[in-house]
Amino acid sequence: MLAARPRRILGLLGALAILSLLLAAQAQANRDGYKAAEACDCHSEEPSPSVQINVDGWPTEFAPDTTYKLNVSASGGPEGTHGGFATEVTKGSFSSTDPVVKANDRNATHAKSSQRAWTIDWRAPPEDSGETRLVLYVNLANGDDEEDEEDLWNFVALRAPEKAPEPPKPSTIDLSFAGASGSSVAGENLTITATLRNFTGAPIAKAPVAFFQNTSYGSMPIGRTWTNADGTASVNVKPLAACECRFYVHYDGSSKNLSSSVLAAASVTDPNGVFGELYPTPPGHTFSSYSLVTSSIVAVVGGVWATLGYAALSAVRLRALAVRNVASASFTHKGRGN
Amino acid sequence: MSATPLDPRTKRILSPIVRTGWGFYAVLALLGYLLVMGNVAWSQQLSEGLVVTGLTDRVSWGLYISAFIYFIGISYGGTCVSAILRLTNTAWRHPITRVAEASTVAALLVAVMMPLFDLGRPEQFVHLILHARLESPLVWDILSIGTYLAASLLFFYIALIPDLALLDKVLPPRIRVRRWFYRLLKMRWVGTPAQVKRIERALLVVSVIIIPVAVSAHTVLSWMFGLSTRTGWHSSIFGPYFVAGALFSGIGVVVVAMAVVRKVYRLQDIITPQHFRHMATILLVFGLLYLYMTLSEYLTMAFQPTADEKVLFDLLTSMPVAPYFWFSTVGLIVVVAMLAMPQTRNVVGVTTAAVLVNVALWIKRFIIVVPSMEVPLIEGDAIAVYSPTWVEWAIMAGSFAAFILVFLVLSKLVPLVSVWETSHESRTTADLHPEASRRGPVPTVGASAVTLVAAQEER
Repeated sequence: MLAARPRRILGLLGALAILSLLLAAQAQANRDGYKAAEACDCHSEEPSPSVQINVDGWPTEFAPDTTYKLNVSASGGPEGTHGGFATEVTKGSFSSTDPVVKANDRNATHAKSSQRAWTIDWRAPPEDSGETRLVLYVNLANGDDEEDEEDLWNFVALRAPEKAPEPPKPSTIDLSFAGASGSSVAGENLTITATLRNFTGAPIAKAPVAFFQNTSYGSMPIGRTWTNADGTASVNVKPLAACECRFYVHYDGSSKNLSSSVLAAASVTDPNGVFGELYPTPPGHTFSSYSLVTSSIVAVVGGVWATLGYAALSAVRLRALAVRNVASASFTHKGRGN
Repeated sequence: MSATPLDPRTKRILSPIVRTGWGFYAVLALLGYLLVMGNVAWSQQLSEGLVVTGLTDRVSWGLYISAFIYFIGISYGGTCVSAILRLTNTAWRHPITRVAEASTVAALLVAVMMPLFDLGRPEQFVHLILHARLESPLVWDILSIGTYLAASLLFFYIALIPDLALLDKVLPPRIRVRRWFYRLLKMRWVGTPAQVKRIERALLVVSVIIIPVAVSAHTVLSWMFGLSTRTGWHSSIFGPYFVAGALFSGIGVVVVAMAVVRKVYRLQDIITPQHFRHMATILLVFGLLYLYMTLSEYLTMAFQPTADEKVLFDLLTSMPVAPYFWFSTVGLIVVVAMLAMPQTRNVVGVTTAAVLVNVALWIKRFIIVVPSMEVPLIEGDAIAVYSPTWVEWAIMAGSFAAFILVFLVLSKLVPLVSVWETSHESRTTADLHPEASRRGPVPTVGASAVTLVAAQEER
């Protein structure tokens, strides 16, 4: 029978050997894929049904881009509290705030072998990723620091299909106008603010909205911008004349929200005569000279039309000059120079 | 009431009105088909907008405006030929004045449609009137072309009155609608000296007024371009250049119309080769004037070009525009030579030259309008590209069909050679061209119909 001190030394060496093997298995796993089953083989060749693995938090259907907290625990197997695990997922990624868990993208394993329960975060993949599968190996050790058949392991394989997307819900846009000086005045900036909300009334952030001005000639694009966290998006326009300016805002919609649009009018006044300043009467066209030009054009065009009218009247008056008893054969031209 | 027997020449001039051959219906069907296709295309443009054309925000004037200038141009030639020849009392004018006036009316009626095609939404044409600003050449254009159209219709009508009276007299009773129409419009014309004096005075007044109106119409049209600052348009020569080009192409159309009427209605002894030689001389004068202005215009642009002008000149002289550019400029030298050489100053030669003039001038209008719009207005911007779509080509084909159709319809309604004026001309022609008289009577297809009518009337 060995003395107590040499037994402790042997025990320590055994633990170091197990740790070395586990690290080697982990290194292998990191190099060319997950090799958890081989690592467990070091303890016993076949999985043991006595090891019961429980995974709480794994969804029956996952929602895209959602983080699930997985509580992994194992029971049965040899008595004691020692154990380890290794897991791999086909889609999504692992992370963990648990200090005894090492997570690396699609793989996770234990950092210490002194417990039999772990917490891992799994972030589900984005939309249209399809089904995800997870395999989880748990090894429960008896704590004798030896790799032998007294250490038992088992595994579970889980799958989760992607949750079918919900049909998009209606969205709404509220439109408001704010002039630089309070009211909407020509020549000053007019801020058009659109607030985008979903069917619950919550703001829709980071959504593209397009602004247009409706004119009698059609819809004129003003610009396209994105809503902020409050669901609002704004553009500035500068009306150059008094108008009942009609603005139109459109949101294309997304997989969650239906498209929506709104048409609203802003009453713009022109107390400063901005339009007249921008498009003044051409130089030299003062009121009097403009009238002279108008009068000249009217005189010339009117004179031409009067002359044409005289000619037309002459044609009409031919009726009065008809004399019945004149020989009807007089179709020959008796004009000048004949 | 007994009618004076019609002389054979008058019978032949009137025969197309009472006799309709299969050729008429064949041409009518072809033109009708093109007109329907044009209307189908226009319907599509009205329902879908100008997006179905090759027009863009950069090149907003294309085929339609090119055709607008072309049709206004050819209308100008007809009017001026008729008015100037009347004012100068030129002896040989009588057989061709009616064709010239008819070409003006037909061309103007088609021309006024072109801006409506280009507008995209024709109902917005009223904005040009409701919101008219006298500073705008577009408003001047409406005024001048509207006046010109009214003057041309009046000119055409007044000169037609004696022939309407004749038609009312000699046409058979079965042609009721047309006879009602003639009776309504003939103004009780019986040819009294007072009526002749009155109608001659009216024609003189309209002849005097219509020449400046026609000049103004085409000058104002040129100002739509020349008063803008766009490269290639901003030129002081544009007014007279447009007028010269209009006369050149317009007289060319009159020549082609003369040749067609002469051939189809067998009026070889009325519209003689001498008429074609006279017209060739007028064409030659305006051809030389036009070439002179073309040289002046392009030499000025090419000798010391601005950056924009260099872009424009490169556009004109490189593919795919180059062949058209050279044809419509240097190529016209050949046409002018044809008009000058005695060997080609015959009916076929002059008519061929007139056709080539019109092809060249149509291309020229396109070259004036489109490449200038393709030159970028902003430095560094790309050269715009305009390519007409089938919609525009179909509307173009329909427009040309409409132009010919108006002629065709007029040929069934009124004599395309003035009867009351040529009755005097016949004596003069016989005196001037005794060899034509020696050839004997020209075959008179359709004359029997009129003769029959006259015989019926006498019974």
